[in-house]
Amino acid sequence: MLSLSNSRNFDKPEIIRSTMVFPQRFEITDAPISEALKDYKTAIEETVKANLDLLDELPPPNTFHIEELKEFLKKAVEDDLRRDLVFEKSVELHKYMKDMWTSVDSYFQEVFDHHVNLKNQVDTDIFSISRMFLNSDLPISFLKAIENSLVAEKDYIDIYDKRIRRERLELLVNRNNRRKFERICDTHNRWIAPFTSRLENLDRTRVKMIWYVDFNNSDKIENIFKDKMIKSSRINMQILQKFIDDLEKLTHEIDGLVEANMEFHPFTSREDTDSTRTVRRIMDLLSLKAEG
Amino acid sequence: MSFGQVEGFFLDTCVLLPHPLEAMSKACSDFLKEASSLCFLSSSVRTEAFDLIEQSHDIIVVNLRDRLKPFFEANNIKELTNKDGKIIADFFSQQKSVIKKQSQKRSNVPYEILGAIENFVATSLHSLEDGRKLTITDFLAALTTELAIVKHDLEAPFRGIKPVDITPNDSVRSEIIASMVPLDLKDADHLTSALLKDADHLASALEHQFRQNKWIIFVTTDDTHILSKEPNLREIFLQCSKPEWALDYYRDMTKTKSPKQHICEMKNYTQRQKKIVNVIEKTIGSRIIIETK
Repeated sequence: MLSLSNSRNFDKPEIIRSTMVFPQRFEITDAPISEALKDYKTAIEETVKANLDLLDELPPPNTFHIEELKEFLKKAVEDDLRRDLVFEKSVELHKYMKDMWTSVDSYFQEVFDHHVNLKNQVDTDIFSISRMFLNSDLPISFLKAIENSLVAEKDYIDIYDKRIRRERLELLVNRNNRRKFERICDTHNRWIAPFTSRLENLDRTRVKMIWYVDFNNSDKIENIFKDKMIKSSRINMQILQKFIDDLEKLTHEIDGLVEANMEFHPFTSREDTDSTRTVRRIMDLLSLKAEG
Repeated sequence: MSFGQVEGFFLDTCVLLPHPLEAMSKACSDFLKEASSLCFLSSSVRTEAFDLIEQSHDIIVVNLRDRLKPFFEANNIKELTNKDGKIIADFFSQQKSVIKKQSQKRSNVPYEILGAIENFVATSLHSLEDGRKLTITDFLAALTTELAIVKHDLEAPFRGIKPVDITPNDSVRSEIIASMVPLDLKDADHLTSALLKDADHLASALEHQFRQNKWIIFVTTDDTHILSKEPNLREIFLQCSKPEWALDYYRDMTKTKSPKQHICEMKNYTQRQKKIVNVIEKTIGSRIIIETK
């Protein structure tokens, strides 16, 4: 996954990125090492494995042998992760998090910047899925299920960001009081608990659905994750509908949790939002110099 | 005896959606700034709003894919530059008539979405530097992405208001309809889907008011269907108001006894009042008139 400012690659593969699963727990010095990924190399290995495990949850593809697909996917995920600056930052933050006790302020600044990049990435993901939908005869429910799930993630990042801005102040005030510091961390971790598994499931279900459509519409293995015409005749629509239903159900659950924490903002008039600016930037990055 | 039994405001869909009249938008926005924490959203209003936004979004997305894309292909247009505004302007002009046919008549939402997208397209195309080109696929994908953002922005106000999960009783709903439609017009032709939806919203507010035994004010900008029937609705104990005056009603009601006590202490009842009290008693399973007499 690449941030907009650093890349023009919008053909990135849809994969799960386990280190980026939100929300992050607050850990203090003696947190179990397994809670955070040890280093960048391990993070890549674990993420590749998570994606290969996800492949086992899909119906076997019509066109390829599963071993051939696994080999392709392993390389595609590895290559993508190594180019992915947001992923790299995410791993770094996990390591940082373990040492939060001694570096509260700098840690949070990194996290806030990371949230901006993550939200940009969600807009880029909506752009990619829109492109897939426009080159297809798929029902609009496919596009909406994915869009809504991505928007739910973005809403979550918003409320999470607001919450930890408040928590940061409490942590800073209590940085010399270990007991209070721990209590704030515990409260935070209890608050995020209902989101954790749901967000992970949401991510997995969305990726599985996209893989199902993409893999079965690729004539050659090299065409996976590339722009192509998507035909509903090449997939089982009942299986697709099941994915859509599952994704909608999970999105609905997350929406409910998010709404309980949302603040009211009236709709006045349409002005450029950060998201709109991101879409404009995508258009700008994708525009080509005219020949001649 | 207790005073100050006011629950707050039940909002109509139109209060949270953009309004074509600037003065009306301002009235809603001013009211919400002051009173959003006292506002409630019934299940029927939420469902109507989300359906409306979703339906408008779907019509436009499907038209982008199934009409605009083939139009570009048929005319062998593969890329757009900052000089191709006219082509897009023609498409949006046609879209307005398509939307008029396909969407719900009384809503402004489809035009709001289309207007936002048109504005986005015009600004984006014009800001392309001279000599730069955008492929049709990327252009359409950017539009679809922006549509998802507009849809989310329109839905956001509905997600920040306290929801009330309520399905109004059919009898309460019927009494609301009886108050809104003259007796000689109560045939099926006059019970439009818009009226039935309004009846659901109003019945939800009325039923909730008596379940909580706290006054509710139903806030709407809909003059034609609701505010013009305000005296009839007030007769059956539901106060409706434009956003501009809603807080005045609220202040007055804080000096009034609770709904049940107020009814108990009334000296005379109209036929319609007797009927609605009877229906409410059955719906909430407790007596109102005899309770304290």
